[in-house]
Amino acid sequence: MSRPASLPLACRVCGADHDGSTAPIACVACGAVLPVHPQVSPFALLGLARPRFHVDDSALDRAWLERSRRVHPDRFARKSDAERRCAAEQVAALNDAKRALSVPYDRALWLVQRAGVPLATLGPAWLTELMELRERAEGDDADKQRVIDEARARFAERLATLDAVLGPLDDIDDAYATPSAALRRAAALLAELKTLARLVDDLGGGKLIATLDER
Amino acid sequence: MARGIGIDLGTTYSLVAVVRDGKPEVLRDEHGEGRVPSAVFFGEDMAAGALVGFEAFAGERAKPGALLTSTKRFMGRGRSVAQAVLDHGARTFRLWPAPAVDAERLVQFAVPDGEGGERPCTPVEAAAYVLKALKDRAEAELGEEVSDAVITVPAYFDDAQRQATRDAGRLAGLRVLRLVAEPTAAAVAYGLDKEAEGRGQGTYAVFDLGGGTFDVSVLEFDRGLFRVRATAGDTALGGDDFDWPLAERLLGAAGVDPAAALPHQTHQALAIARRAKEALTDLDHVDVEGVLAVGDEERAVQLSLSRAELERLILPVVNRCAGPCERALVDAGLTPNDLDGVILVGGSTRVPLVRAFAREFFGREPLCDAHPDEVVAAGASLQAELLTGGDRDLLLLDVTPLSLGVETMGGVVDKLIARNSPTPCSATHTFTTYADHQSAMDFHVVQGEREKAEHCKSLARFTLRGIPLLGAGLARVAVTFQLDADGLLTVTAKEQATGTTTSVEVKPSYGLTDAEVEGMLMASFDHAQDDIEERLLIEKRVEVERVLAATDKALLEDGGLVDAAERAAIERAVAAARGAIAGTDRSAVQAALDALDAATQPLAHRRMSKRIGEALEHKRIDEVTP
Ligand SMILES: [Zn+2]
Repeated sequence: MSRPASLPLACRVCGADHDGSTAPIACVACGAVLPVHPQVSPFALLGLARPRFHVDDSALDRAWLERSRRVHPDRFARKSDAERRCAAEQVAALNDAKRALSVPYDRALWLVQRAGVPLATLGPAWLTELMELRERAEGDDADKQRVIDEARARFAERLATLDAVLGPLDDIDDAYATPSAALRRAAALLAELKTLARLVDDLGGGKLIATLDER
Repeated sequence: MARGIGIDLGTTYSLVAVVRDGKPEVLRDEHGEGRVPSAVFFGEDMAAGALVGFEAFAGERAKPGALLTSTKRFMGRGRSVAQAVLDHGARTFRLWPAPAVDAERLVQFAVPDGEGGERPCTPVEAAAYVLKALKDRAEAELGEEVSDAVITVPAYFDDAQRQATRDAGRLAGLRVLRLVAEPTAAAVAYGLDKEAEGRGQGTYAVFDLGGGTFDVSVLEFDRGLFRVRATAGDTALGGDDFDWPLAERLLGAAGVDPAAALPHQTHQALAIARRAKEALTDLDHVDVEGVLAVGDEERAVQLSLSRAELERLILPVVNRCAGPCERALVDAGLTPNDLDGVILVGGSTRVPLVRAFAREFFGREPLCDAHPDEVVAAGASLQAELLTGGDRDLLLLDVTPLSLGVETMGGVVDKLIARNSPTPCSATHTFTTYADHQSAMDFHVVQGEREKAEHCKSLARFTLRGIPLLGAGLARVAVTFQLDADGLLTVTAKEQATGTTTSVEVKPSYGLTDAEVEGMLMASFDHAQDDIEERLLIEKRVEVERVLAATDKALLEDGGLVDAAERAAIERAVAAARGAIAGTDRSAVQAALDALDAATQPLAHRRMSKRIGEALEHKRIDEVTP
């Protein structure tokens, strides 16, 4: 299996070289906390050798906790300023990685963007459909609830399609390295998923995507 | 490294704790009292400095000046908030007049300047006096200089309120190692204590109702790891809200319009209300007596109240806890049944109606084995120990209570960091220009859950200039939010279209500049020279006040234990003591105190025997029960 390209990373205390792509925590030479390479993948930070769509949520959570225990700046109160700064960087990067990967929608978005696939624009047919849905929700509460239910159903259906599209890529080397038809299909699904989630939220039906309001 | 202290800077009371021999310990005064009222008094004849805590109340009774209480409610808030409180609630202070153009500037109170005039005092300065008093207590107790502190803040405090708390610490001469959320600190002290007994793993809700703020946090404990799943709250909801309806009734009965009451009348009425509220924790009905200044006379007043009446008055306030409790559970993805326990924290959770609310909402008997007043300070001291080099197995993973974002076209908020994200963290969003040859971009940073920026808390506004002149949509500006472990935000904006980078860094502020903080630092403490004799007199008055309060309580509970002659003797001594503390003769105050002590001896002895008898009786019942 191919590994991500290596990223040169120097220890801030002794200068020893490391491969930033593996998200190392401590310097092999002096033991100091290392900085985080800006291009490191969130998957590496959470202990996964390479990017993938299917992940075990509880394993991800355990990896996050385990690494938090090791890199949290509170652990380094007695260490140098440089080390404490590195620890702060480490834990911030770790928390950012967790946010990016903990929900399938966001994970897919990360994979699609990393491959360099542009975010899809919505087709006229979809926009018309969406408009109709919104219009139908303008009646009484029962109408609104019917639209919420329908939007939720369509959301679930598209999420299943997304799963079918991306799932097989997990086993193919470098599938998330460059654009492909499958990733473009995923980008189109993501755009539709987002509009459905937005619609449900606007109608008071709850948040289907945890990070709906982010980005 | 010098020892670090943990401080619970509360709305009504504050405490300081330190870890000794591995155990958190709240530092107390000579009466065993750990709580320091968060009250600051500036007398008209005091050239510099202020009286803090019980002494502040005594100062207010003794001479003209301004007594500031519950000022935490105004930390990092605009004048409109303070004005709303003045218009709709207790008028315990006057605002320093501000020019109309600067109406949203932070709150300032009008206090005597010691030279016959008045000067402005911010909530930050008031908090700094309280922190300084706690620092002094720690130094006296530890016999060494103390400079490092962990200070707790309500979990639901926003960026401006946190900044203000940090500044107050700095003003008091403390290096603030960390701001820790109050429910998180409570969970740490509670969890480590239980862990020592081999229990306490699992998922808990901390229900923290203090004097002026309400927080509810859902946390997981596991072997020294404390992970906050979600937090919610209301920074304008607390036990103080229970007092005002009672005080209003008292003022009304004495013929004073509550809406026009003077600050000292309001303080008097609130003090009586609080005594009634506290007594109703154990009793079903109370008659609390006190004095209220009406015109030129001190009029004796009585507040007669049943628990049912109190509960009817405070029910609307207690019910406001429901919204945050629901939000915290939903955000944590849990139902009440998923919890292993509900921990009650904060003095206001002693109110039976509050306990009943928690029991009903979470569908279980809440845990009451944490000390509601002291557990927050204890948790802060454990974190302080860790941050000053202690090697305890402890780690807090906290979250940001409120979403952070930038205002976009049409006034809608674009959220960069969602609420309940683990901290520290960062997020970047790229914005593009909307006009051809646009050379500058305005940004408005906000915090809150509402969709429109105008309904969120405004943290900062800034302009990025020097953007290369390109067509609309071609210049790209990356805005990065960095949230640190204290929950404080730094914003950076970088232009990236041409590879050249212009950037601005913004520290959101609540209206005080660094220079202003420095200025206050110079002005407040360096020149404080307290008059020793005055301090001794005040201390003695405080002592008398305590004995008077204890006598009141004893007569209320066990008045039947004394005969008519003994009661008359006690009443004479009480009147004499009240007279003595109104004067300035310290030896007269001491004499009155001794007389009061002698008169109450029989009552004290009989109460003691009664308690012992009760305790023995309970023991016998326990012993015969299998
Ligand atoms: Zn090294």
